Amino acid sequence: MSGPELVVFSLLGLAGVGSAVAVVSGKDLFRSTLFFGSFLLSVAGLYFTLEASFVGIMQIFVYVGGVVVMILFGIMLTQQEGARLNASLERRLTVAGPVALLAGILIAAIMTTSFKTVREVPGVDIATLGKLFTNDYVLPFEIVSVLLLAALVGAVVVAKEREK
Amino acid sequence: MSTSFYDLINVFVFTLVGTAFVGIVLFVSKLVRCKNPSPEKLAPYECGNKASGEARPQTQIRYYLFALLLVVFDVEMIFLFPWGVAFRSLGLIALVEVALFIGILLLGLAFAWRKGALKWQ
Repeated sequence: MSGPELVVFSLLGLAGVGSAVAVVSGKDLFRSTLFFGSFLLSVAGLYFTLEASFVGIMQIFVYVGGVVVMILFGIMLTQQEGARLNASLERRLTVAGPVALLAGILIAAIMTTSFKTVREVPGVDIATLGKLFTNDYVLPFEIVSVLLLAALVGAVVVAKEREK
Repeated sequence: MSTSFYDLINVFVFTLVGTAFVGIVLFVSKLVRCKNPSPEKLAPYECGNKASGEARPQTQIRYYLFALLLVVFDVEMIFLFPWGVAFRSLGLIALVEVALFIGILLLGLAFAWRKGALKWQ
């Protein structure tokens, strides 16, 4: 990574870590979710620095535009008026402990893996992706639609059940 | 036509300057303005009427259902977008494949419709 790339990467990384800390340290679930959105935006920015612009755009569309909105509606649906998060320290530690352990194992695994260094990133453009979807990977492509169908039916059934 | 990092650097600069602009303007106005709050001034403004209730009332489940449907069709869009970009060079077989893809999801939409999930009662 050279000059400007390093600057952009550091700024995005800083923004990402900052909002991640804000997510877990906030007392208000709603606000935490908004910070989660800004965290996902920083990750999208990191995808752009890696020249994966399609993944970056889709990250913004699906995660920031869809998933975060869904979580917000979920919170607004279930939250009592003016409720605040205040779990006991003991309960926090029982959750934080395993999560920290898992994060530690993951970081150790990533640090010890010897990744192949690539000088030139082969640019994959979206048209190539479309060709692969409809030629080499047709079956997985169609199976995805079945998977999405299952998700859709499940969502309708669960939500209709709860409405009653 | 993959976009390189340097094509996007102006986006980053724009984001940075935009964020800094908001911060600086808010900071400067905090420096200059006088602060003299009263309960009436601190009350939320609601078209001149007296505000009532909480700022975040409990929403209804149908909003959640629409959000769920949005996520599903968002993911569908990811898979259709690359096909749309390469549409001219792909031809009829790809069109049939994508029609099948959309058809299967239309089944889901029909199911949601039959179940009355799209009705706004």
